[in-house]
This record gives sequence, structure tokens and C-alpha cells, in this order.
Amino acid sequence: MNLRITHPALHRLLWQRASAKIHNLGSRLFAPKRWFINLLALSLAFVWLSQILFSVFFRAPSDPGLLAERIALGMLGFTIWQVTKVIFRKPVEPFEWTPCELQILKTAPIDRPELIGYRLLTTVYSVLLKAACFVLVMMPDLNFLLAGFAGSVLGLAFCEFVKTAAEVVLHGTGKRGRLISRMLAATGITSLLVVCIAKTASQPDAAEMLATPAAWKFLLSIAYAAGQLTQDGCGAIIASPFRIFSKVMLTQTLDTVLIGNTLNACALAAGSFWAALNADRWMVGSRQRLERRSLQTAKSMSAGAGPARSRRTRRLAVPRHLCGIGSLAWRQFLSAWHYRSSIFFSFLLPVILCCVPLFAKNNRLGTPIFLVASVAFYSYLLLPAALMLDFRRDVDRLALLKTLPVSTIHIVIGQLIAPVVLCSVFQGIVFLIAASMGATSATWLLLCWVGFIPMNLMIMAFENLIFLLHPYRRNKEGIDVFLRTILTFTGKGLVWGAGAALVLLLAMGCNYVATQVLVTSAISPAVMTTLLLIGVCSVLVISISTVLIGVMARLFDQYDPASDAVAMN
Amino acid sequence: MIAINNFSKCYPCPNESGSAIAVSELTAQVLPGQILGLVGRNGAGKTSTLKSIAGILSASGGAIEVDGFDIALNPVEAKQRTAWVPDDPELFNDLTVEQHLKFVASVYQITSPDNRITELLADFELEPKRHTPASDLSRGMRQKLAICCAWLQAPKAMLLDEPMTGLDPYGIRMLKQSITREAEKGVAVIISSHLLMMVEDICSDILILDQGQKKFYGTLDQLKLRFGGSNSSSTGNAHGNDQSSPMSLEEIYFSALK
Repeated sequence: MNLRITHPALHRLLWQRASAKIHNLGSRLFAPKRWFINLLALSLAFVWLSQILFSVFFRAPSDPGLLAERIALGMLGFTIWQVTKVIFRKPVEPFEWTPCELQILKTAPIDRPELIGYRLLTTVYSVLLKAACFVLVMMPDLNFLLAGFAGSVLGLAFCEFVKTAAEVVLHGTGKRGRLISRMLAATGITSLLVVCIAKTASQPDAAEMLATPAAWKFLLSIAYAAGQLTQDGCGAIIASPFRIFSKVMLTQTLDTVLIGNTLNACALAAGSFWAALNADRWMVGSRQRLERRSLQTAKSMSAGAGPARSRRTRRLAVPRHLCGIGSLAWRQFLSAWHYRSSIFFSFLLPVILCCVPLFAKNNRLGTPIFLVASVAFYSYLLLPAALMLDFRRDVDRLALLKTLPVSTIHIVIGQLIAPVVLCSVFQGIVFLIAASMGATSATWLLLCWVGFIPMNLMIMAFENLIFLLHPYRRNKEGIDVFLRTILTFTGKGLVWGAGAALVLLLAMGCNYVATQVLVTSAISPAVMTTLLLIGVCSVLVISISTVLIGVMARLFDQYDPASDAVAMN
Repeated sequence: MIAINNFSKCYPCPNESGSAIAVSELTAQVLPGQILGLVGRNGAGKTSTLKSIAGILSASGGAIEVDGFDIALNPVEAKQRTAWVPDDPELFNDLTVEQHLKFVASVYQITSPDNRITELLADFELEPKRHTPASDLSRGMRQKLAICCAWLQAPKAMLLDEPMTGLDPYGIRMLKQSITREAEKGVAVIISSHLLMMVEDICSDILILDQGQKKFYGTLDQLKLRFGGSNSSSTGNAHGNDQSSPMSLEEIYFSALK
């Protein structure tokens, strides 16, 4: 029996690639072309890390029992969320192989379980990094750092392997099996929600919670009710592995209990690893059977034995004019259609979160403000990551885009149209829900929606500008990605803060103009203030967007595929 | 020896519930020392066939054996005896030329590969690039490195998918010579190519695929006999004598595909 996790040559490969990556990172960090941006990122990273460390060291430790329970339920919730996403999305190849791994490793005399072991081991590296960060943040609560680190590594690895096993099983399941699993998952989640909502609503202060502007308390109570379900019966069994990991992390004493828990945690992580490996073995056989069956069907259909299925094609005319802008936008919209289910799910949570203020009753002034602020916040924070239908998705096609007979400025505009439109659709949906619930005036919501469109353009232009400054590959991990994330996050935070302050100042100015300068009996001062504010903000945002688009065009012009291209393999 | 028995490959059609058949019930055999030219239009199923023999894709039907080992049942043994040169070589960009070759040597468990590495690097003019990362190599050099990786082991079967792409004239001559040399040593070779002159130069047998179906399988002479014999073109010379000139492989190929 082969007990090797992976082939020795693959260990060597992992090591060589890791050292080459560190070397390359060093040369990239000190590259003259990027010294300014790297210096800025490093300084910000230093500021952030020192601030985190400062706050961590002066933080009072939490109650160990409560914290252990929260960590366990957090991991359980994360795993359920990941598995649910896997069930509902279009099945994809569970192990992502780069073209070079496909050509070199898949043709090499390496057993498939060893290859899968290699792939899973690469996940463990990112788990180690995440666990290290987690330990850093949780330092005041950890009595034994090593135990905290071991518990985090094992827990996170367990979550990853369970998710991978689910992905593998779904990939090997036929259409009917997938449909059944989706129905089961939908029924399970709906039942869970119904039970939790019923439990929360039966509390004596439920009505009071709903009547306050902070209706999120109600949502929090639902989550709390879900946590309560894990205290006994089936819920307790499902949550029990996660409780073991949190017990290891937050152990108070070095005793035999810790040893027992650590052994259990190791067994759980190893078991999930083994489950992922075996799921893959099953998946290979199952895919082969499914392929054989579909071959038979295809053969019988081509022989005329079965009814010819009419080919459904969705027609979407390519706009021939608009200086190439239309063609580029058309391509991105096609991609959006292709990934419609992922986009739908990434819209779902922000839509629900944005609609939370609508639950607050009898608050004619607070609700619209909370609503607009939520929409702005999620449009700024979540949607740009979900709507990567622009330059960020085309990291491998930037050189091709440069060869198109379209001017740079038109390429930039064409690339931005799809995410801006989809972002506006999201906001339109939220405002439509708000209007249908009678939360506030429909005209006011329509005005806000129109006002948001230039803001969407600015947000997407800003995201793409950062990308063009420092192109990167999605799903890539490493220190350079960490630095980029810090830079982006800080930059966005600063812009968000400055933007909020500017809007407040403008609102005060507009209010002054509406009440002191443009006094008219035809329009009330409140409406005049709103109109003025939206107008001024729109002009300002459009001006900023124009500048950003201009800078993007210049950056794209300067992009050198030979030196700026990011490594893939 | 490479034995392809009743091999079929189908792919699921995107946005449809059915499947598209890429290769249908293909049977062929490449004996040691034989060089089989795999030709056909784009999308005829050549790369699907080669990738299935190499173990990248699984067969939807039938079986493929390399040196007596079924690629589905004994993948490691079959792959141990197979060398694969893709049309568009993808390499680990972080690794240098030498590191690539050493990695391949360790995967294929080649003992003391240093002399062989030096020999190959000299043959394919890669010696000056020994310590250069793959990301800094040109298209042709990447192709040469992929060939060196394939040549490093002592395979029983060689699969080459458009191997001449990106090579300079010297590289092409070098590759042709080494393919012939390997075949003489008893390696079974399959080359997929659109360069019919090259196929005519080095291949002993030819397999023409069209829409996943075998259109012709046999020696070059058999091909000429079957598709080129009756259609020989007649041309008159200066003395008024009619002289029948043999059809080129290109003409025969088009005639076979009709």
C-alpha cells in the first residue's frame, strides 16, 4: 500500500518554485518601475500591521468559553456557506491545474492520488499563512501560541478539505444527482431559516426589535437562534468537529485533554484529506461512466435513433458602431450571461443586507438615509470584487486588447460598461424593492438611482486603475498579493472617508444655497437641496471619472506585455 | 508499441444537454520503430487522440495501450514509457532550463541524468540558457526545452503535437533527425502535423482523421495507391510527349478528404 502523500519529485518542485517565487518577489519589490507603489504598499502594510499589533496587545481577552463557541460556529457557518455555494454553482473542475501542470504533471508517471495530494498540499501553504494571521489577531486570547496555531491550521485545513471533497463529489455527479442535491440543500436551508425566524419571532421583544432603525438586531437574533440549534441533537453532532478545533486553539492548560483533543483534531483533518482523495477516486470513475453514457446517447442520436435536439442559440447582436466600445461591452455582457448564477448569488447577499433598513418601521427620515448609505457602501465594497468583467478579468488578454484597431480610450470605456451597468441594475433592484414597500418617495429613489450611475463609473474606474497600476492574477496568493490588498483596501478606505466628508460638506453648502440664495415658492427647500446635491455630486463624480479614465488609458498605453505580464505557472 | 482499440472521445456541449463526439471508434497500432503521421483538418480529433494517449484526457470509449499497459488501468506504467511534446509548450515559469530537466529526471526516476542533460542542451543549442528561467525564453526555445524534456527519458512511445511550431531551420533539422534516430532505436512515434512535407519526409505510416472518423490508415505507398493513382495529372513536355507526373502528398491528402 502506498502511504506517500505525494511524489518526492513534487516536493522538490514545490520547494524550487517557492524559492524562485521569493527571489522573483525580491526583484519585483525593488524594480525601479514600481519602487514608488511598492514603497507605499510596504509603508501602509507596516502602519496597518503595527496598528493591529498595538490594538491586539492592549485588548482585553474575551471569555474563553464564549469565544471557543463563536469560533466553532464561525467555522461551521463558513463551511456550510462554501458547500452551499459549491452545490448551487455550475460544476467546475474541482482541482484547478495551470496549463503547465496539465502538460507536464498530468503526462508524468505520477499516480493520480499523489497529484491530488500535491494539489491539496499547495492549499495547506495558504492555510499556514492564514493561521499565522489568525494567531496574531487572537494573541491575547491564546494561552499557548503553539496550540492556537495548531488548532487554527487543523481547523482551516479541515474546512478546505471538506469544501474540496464537496466540489469533487458534485463534479462526479450527474445532472439528476445535482438537481436532487440542490433541492435537498434548498429545503434544508429554507427549513433552517423558517425554524430560526419562528424561534426569534416568538421572543417577547421581537416586535420591538423590528420597530427600531437597527433592525439588524433581528437578523442577529436569527443567527443566534441558528447557533442555539447546534446545542443539542443533530446540530450538536454537526458542530462537534469544529468545537474540537476551537478547544485546541483556546486551551487553558497543557494536559491530557489537550493531547486528546489535538489527536482528535489531527484525525479529523487527516480524515477530511482522505475523504477528498477518495472522493476524487470515485469522481474519476463516475465521470468515466457518465462520459460513456453520453457517448452512447450521442452515437444513437447521430445514427437517427433519437430525436434531434434543436439547438438553442441566444442571439445578441454585436454592436458594429460606437468606435469599438459596443463590441468590447458585448463581449463582457456575454461573459456576465455565462456566469449569471455566480453573479446572482453575489448580488443576493448585498441586496438582502441593503434591504435591512427597510424593516425599520415608522422612520420616514432614517430609512431612506440608511438605505442609500447601505447601497453606496456595498456598491463600493462588495460589488467591484463580484463584477470582475473588465480589465481585471482580462489579465491574459491585455496584449490582445492592445492589438485591436480601437483607440485606447474607447477600449477603456468599452471594458467598463458591463460592470457599471450591472452595478446599476443591482441598485435599481434595491430601490425598486424599497419603492414597492413604500419606504420612501419613488421619485426620490429614482433620482438617487440616476445619481448612483456616475458613482458606479467612478468606482469601477478606480478599481481598474489600481489593477493597471499593478496587474495581478485572480485567485493568486502570496506576499505581493497581500501588499496589493493592503494598498487597495487603504486607498479605498481613504477615498470612502474623504468622499463621505465631501458629500456632507456639499450637503451643507447646498442646504445653504437652497434656503438662502435660491429661495422659491415653487420648490420646497428640502427638494431643492436634494436636487442641488445630486447635481453637484454628479458633476463632481463625472469629472473624477473622466480623469480616472484618462489616466487608465495612459496606463494601458504604457502597459508592456513583455515586462508587466504576470506569471501564471 | 501504441495500440488504440475502438477509441472514442466525446465532450459535453456547452449550453446543451448533449455531447459532441471528437473521435469515434478509432483503431490503430504503431509498432516499435514506426513513425505514424496523424493528419486532418482542424477539429478532426488529432489533439484529443494524442492527449488521450498521453493520459491528459480519459477515453470515453475503447482502450489505449502503451507498451502493453492500458492507460486507464495502469496509468503510471504507461506514462513512464511515453514522451509528450505539446504544440504550445507550457512550462513552469519560475524554474530555469536546468531545473526543468532535473525535475523531469526525478519524476521519471532517471539515474545520473547530468550527462544526458548536457548532451541535449548542446544538441538543441540551449546550453547558454541553462540557468535562464523559462519565462525569459522565446517561443522557439520553449519548444526546444519541451523537446529536451521529452527526449531526456528513454521512452517506448513518443507523441508529438505540431512539434515544429516556432522552431528555426536548424531546430527543425535537428528534431527530424532525432525523431528518426529514436524510431531506429525501437520507439513508436506519433506525430500530428499539418506540414505534409515533413510527414512525407519522416513518417512510415499515415492516419487521416476527418470529423473524428478514420478516413485512411496505412503506409504512404498505400495512400498514394488508393488516392493518387488514378488521379495522376498529365502534362505535356516540349517534345509533345505526354508525361504522367505523380500527385504530391498535398493533392493526395485533399483527394482523401473529399
